[in-house]
Amino acid sequence: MKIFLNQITDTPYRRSFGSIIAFSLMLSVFGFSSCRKFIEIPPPNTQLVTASVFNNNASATSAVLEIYSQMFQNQESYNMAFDNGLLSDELTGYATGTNSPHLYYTNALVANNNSYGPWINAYSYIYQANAVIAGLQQYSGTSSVVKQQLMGEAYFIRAFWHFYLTDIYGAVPVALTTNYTVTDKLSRTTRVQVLQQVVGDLQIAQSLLSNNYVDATDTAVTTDRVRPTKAVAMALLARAYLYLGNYDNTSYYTKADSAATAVINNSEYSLSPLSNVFLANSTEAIWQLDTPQPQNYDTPDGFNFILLAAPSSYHGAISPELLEAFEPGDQRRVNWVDSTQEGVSTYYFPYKYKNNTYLGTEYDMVLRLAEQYLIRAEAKAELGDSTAVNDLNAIRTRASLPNYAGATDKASLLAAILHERQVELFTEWGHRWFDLNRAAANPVSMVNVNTVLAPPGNVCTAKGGSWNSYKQLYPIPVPDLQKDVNLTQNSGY
Amino acid sequence: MDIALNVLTPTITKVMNLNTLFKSGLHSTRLTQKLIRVMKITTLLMIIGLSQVSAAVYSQQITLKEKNVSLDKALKDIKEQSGYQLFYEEGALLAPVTVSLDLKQATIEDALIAALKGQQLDFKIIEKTIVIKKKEESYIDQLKDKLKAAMASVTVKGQVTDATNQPMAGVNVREKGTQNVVSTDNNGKFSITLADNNAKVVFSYIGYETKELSTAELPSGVVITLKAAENNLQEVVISKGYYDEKRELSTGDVSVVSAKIIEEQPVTDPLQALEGRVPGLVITQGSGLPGANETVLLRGQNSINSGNAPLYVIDGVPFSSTSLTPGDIGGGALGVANNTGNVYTPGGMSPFNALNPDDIENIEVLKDADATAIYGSRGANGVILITTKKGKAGTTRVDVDFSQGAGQVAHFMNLMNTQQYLAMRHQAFNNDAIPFPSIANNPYDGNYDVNGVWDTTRNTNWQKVLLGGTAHYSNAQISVSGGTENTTFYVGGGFSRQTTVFPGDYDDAKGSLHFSLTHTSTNKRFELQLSGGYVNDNNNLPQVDLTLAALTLAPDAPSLYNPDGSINWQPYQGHETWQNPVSYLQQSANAVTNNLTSNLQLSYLILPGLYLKTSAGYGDDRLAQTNIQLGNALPPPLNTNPFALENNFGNTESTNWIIEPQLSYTRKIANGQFNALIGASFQQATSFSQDFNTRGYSGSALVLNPANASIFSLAGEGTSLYRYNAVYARVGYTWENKYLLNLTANRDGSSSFGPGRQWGNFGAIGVGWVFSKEKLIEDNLPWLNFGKLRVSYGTTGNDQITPYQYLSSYSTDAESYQGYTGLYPSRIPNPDYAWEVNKKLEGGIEVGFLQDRIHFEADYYRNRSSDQLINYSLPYVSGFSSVEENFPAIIQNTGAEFTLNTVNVKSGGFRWSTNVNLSFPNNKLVSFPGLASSSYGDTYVIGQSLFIQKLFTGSKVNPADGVYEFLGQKGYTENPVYPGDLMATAPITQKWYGGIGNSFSYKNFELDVFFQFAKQLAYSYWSSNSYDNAGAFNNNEPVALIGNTWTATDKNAKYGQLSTQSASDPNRELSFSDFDISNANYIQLKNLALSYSLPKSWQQALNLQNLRVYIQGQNMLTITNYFGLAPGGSGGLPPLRMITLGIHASL
Repeated sequence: MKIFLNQITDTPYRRSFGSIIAFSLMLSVFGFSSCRKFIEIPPPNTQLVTASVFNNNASATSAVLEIYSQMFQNQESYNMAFDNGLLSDELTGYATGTNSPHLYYTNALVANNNSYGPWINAYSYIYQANAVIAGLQQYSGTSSVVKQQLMGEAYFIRAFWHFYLTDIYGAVPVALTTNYTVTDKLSRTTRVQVLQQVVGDLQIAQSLLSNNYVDATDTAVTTDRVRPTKAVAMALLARAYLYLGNYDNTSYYTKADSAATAVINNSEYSLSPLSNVFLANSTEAIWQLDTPQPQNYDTPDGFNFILLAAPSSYHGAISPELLEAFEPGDQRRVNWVDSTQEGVSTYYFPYKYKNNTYLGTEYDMVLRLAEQYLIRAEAKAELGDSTAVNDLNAIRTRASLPNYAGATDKASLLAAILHERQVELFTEWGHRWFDLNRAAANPVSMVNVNTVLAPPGNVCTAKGGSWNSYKQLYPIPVPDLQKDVNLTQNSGY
Repeated sequence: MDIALNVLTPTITKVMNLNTLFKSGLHSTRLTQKLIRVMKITTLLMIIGLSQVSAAVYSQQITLKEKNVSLDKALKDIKEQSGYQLFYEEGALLAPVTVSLDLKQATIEDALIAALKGQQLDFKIIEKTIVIKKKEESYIDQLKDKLKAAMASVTVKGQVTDATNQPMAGVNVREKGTQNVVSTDNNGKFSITLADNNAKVVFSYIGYETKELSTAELPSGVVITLKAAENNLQEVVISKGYYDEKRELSTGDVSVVSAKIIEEQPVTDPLQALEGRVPGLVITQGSGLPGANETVLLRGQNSINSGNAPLYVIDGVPFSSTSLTPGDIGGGALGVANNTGNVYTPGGMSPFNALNPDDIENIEVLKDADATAIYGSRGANGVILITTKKGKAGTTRVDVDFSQGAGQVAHFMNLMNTQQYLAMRHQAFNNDAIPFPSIANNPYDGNYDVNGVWDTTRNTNWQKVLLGGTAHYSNAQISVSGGTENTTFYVGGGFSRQTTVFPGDYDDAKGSLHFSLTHTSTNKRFELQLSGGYVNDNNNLPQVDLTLAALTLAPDAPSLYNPDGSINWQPYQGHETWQNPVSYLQQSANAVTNNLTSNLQLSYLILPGLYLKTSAGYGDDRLAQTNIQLGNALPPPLNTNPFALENNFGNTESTNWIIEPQLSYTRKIANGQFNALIGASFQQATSFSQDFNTRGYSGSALVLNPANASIFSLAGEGTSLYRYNAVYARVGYTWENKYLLNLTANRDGSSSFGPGRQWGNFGAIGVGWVFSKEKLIEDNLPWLNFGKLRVSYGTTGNDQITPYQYLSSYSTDAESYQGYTGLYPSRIPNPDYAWEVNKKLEGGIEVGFLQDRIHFEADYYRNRSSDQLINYSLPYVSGFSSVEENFPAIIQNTGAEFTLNTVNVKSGGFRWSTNVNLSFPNNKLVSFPGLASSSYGDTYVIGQSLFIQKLFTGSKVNPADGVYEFLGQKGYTENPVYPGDLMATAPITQKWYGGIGNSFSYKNFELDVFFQFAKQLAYSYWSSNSYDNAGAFNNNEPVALIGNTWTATDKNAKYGQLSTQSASDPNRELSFSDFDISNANYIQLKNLALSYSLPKSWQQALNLQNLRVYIQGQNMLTITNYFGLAPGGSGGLPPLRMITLGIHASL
């Protein structure tokens, strides 16, 4: 630079354009010295660096609450209910051709580039939960109470989604880290091991979570039952034990029994009248999802299931099989089913949620007490404990049905409980589909997915498809098979 | 002033001549000396001015300092430096004398005059040959002649113009065989006093054909028109962005597409005008819709997915090739921009649609390391320089151009009519052993086309209804240009509009303004150039491209409208039975683009040869997208649902500024020319976008104003900041215009990378040898007038990645839970990635024969890119679909490119020239450590091209059951295993491609015919209209299937059995097979342009400088075996056949 300046001063022409030269030179000199700073750019104002997220109670809480928000926005409850309702004998589909609802309805899922089921979203929620665990461990700016609650919720979310993944796809990879160099090479873990991992995570969650429902401060108690608590973890634990009983060994039924009992005995919860069950913070609600704001409906299920006209491709109506399953006098048939008339056709639809727009009175139900009764009933039936009937009757009574009067041998009881679950838990999170599949793993069960969909039930044929038992599991999404070489496809696909 | 003049004076031929004349014939007085000085100054200024205004003017410059050498040696040295040949006329004997010379940048004439001073010798220059001859007359005779001439005073005055009637300044006007020479002034005017009444006058100018006229042909006030020389390629000046070079002396590989070629093509997007014109450049249009984006690959795919776009620079300002179409709400029929590096499917609005092709002077494509390394981290995929039009000194010129035309889909598929369609459906039901459906038996049956719901006597040719319209094209341009010696200007404005072939009122309308101003100070030291442009483009299209509907709708599908004019949904039991394509027209996608580009260049001559230059530019590109869904888009009862009415809108804004101070120096060193450049670059690019969904309108009439929405939500937002900083240098040295060396270096930093990874060093070396200037070749191969070998090697980089990929951060969700706004992880961060490096090696040969009537160029290149910046695909199990990584994979692109330009006929006013370009690309994945266990394990194969696809291959019909079978690992199977049975296909890309242009001109007619051709594999018709849908509801098929599908009675048919099923279809694996790939070789008459200029006499009568009428055609004719609308089509609307008629007038 110095030499350069000397040359200029030596020339007699600098005066006329001196200022321009000086300006340009200043620019260059300024430039050479400030290069490094020039290209260091601040983070975009739409993003918050991770360190600051987890050094602050409020933003760390936001990172957890967002997962529930996404679960609502992605309509997970409806997708689970709709897809699995079509696969089983709950819903009639009205799509044609290659529209995916048609493939679900005709039990004709194929391994192709489409991803069926919650695979993508579930692993995204799991990643976010793992990121919360890692973030809270790495940065220490949150208060210990907040940290404990959020940690517990993260473990709970991780367990929740691994549970559904294994129900849907069978053996699945268990993702316990955000480190992509690990997660991009995961192999599948057997269903039993996944369920055991779920149990492990739920036990950690249970030890960390608050006794009470908390608001967004993570400490103040609230009436909104929209955050996991110890009881929420316990409720899911009861279900996980029940499934382990089906898929692993019967010793888990004892654990299922005691876990469900702990929830049922919790004074916070009681069976609500049928018309109140799905209201926000009903006494039966163990865990509901808050309605993220702004929103144009209370719940995805109310928005999608309630038919104002004939169903379109992406809507379903209650199947004739489900309609016939209600015993005469069952108030659930009256209270939880409605219909719409279009031309000569009547379309029945689930009417558990009454609102199809935003009124703010209903919340999206995830876990509720009635299921705990049925879990305990089933666990007891499996253990040969005839008091199972009491729990069954608790549910029947609420529906204005007489007490169970059938045989009390294990097989009959299990069949009765399966039937009760069908009419109690219909179009909720795919219960029916998982129940039918669980029953197929249980040598005692007379009614299961194979007997319902194939002869003698013949539901699959009625739906226009053909049944094969490999169809109990969804295909593993093909893109992941390509990207993770250790993944394998479910047999049959 | 004096210092400078003394240095530069010897370059001026005329001054020397006058000097000798004055000295010999007249007394030198103070007055004459002063006069001479004034003339010196004017000429000097003119020459400096010219060499700056028009960089195309170069003169042979001789620098010699010799003391007491033999005349023979002196002449040989002049010959060596000039590159001319030297001959002695018989009888011209060199006296054994010694001479002393001190020449600096002298012209060849001056050098010879100085060398032959006092000798009884004279010289003559014929073409590029110096002939030394005996002086014919004695000194006294010569003096007599001069006196005679002075007394006779035969003075010729006139004007020289070019073919477009532009005055030409600086043209040499010489009395033949003498040193009597003058130059034309700025208005092209000249005045020469001839010594010999009968002498001929020679008009010459570099780059133009020389003209010789007798005095009889030169009445006073004559206008002489010089024609541009044929293929005078070597004199062309090419720009390498930061510096210019004469093509002859360039060590790099640069292709130029001129304004003429761009103007001849009726396109609204200038990039489309490059299709087939540049070897190594492949441009693929996304669709034939106006405004559609294109993918541009220069010499193949260098990067697996970090961006393969070249760097675009408009008048010195980088231009982002990223489509501004918002990703969150989409661009309607144009689709969503695909900026992820996918080389097959561009989407969104082309950013180049916001440029006016008529404002462009030329487009240069820089390919090799020599030309691109100075762009450092941005040059890996080549550099495309777009230069806008500038004014020329001379009389003010007004150009008006108006054209109008029509475009249509050139080729339709031959699809089944209702009778054939129904037969196909019957056959499919038969194959499936499913009873033919009837709505009477099954009220839930969805086969409305055959079950009695639709009227099966209807027959509609949907291609004709939906794509059969005519796209109207109109274009009006006006420009005013001109200026003086010091200041020139250009102002242009234009308007163009193109409609679509769809029914309905859809179009793309573009208004533009462009200006340029150049100013040079009177002392020629300071120069200013300001240019700018503003374009407003309004692109209004439906939200859905109707092509797929046109190809697949059943021919018996219902009528579009009810008798009352409302949209016909053909309801059955209250719900619609089809997706009426008219509904797509009720969903509009409107994109308004405003693009500003501006550039200011200041240059100052500090010392002789030393320039200080600063270039500063600013660009601002904005796109406002509005997608509206009216109630009519939906069947009842949804059409009255306020939540179904949508107005989704978004704005994207990208601004860009750049400042580049530079210092350049040029001087003679020994027998060579030395050039040096050092500069710095500061660039900032920002972008910002916000997209909104609005819903809940109480009626279609209210949808246009989002204020009427009851639900208003943020669909997405984005902001990014990119900063780039570089220091670059170039050193060039050419020894006797024969040996060429060019070194470039760049150290740059890009904000795309995380802390500690931002800086990189790049550089290139280019060498050249103009072997045709070697004596051995000059003497033995006189027909070879030009020959050059060049080699270059260097490194460039690639930083085309999404910003902030190194940053661990959270983004905000628009929705809140428990009153808290959500935060979600923005990405999986990786702080460690840095440049992708591209090493380019190239060798080329350029030869010209027969005075360049044949010019041939051949290049071979090998580009290897490593440290692949991969947006590494992750399984969904990882939580995100990708992470940014440098991957040690090496990708190699090699290829050979050939260009041939010939002038086939040039006689009697008829001229026929041909240009051919041909490219043979080859892409190869050289290495990819751990490929098998990576997320690309099922995509790529080491040693093969990146353009392969891993699919089930060998697809053929199994005659036994009519189901397709594939060649798996265990032989042919109908149930191939995913992914085990996937095999690599041949590369789905061009094997070779090119273009042939022929130009004919005869008198006032000019005809240009351009063919583009390629041998290639591409996605077949079945990739967009899957064969497994054939036979299913509402999937019309080509007539070619009739009688050619498998049935129990025709087991050797070409196509597999039809089925009404889709997913459980026997043909379902076809979509993952090579059935979707086919040959797509073609020859296309890409462009045809015929023009006629009105005879001069008419033009003068009309007071016009030029009046031309023309007819142009684009995509005129395609010869191909490809089964589909257009070879390798994307499934969307193919590029249209466009014919326009226009008129161009210059006032």
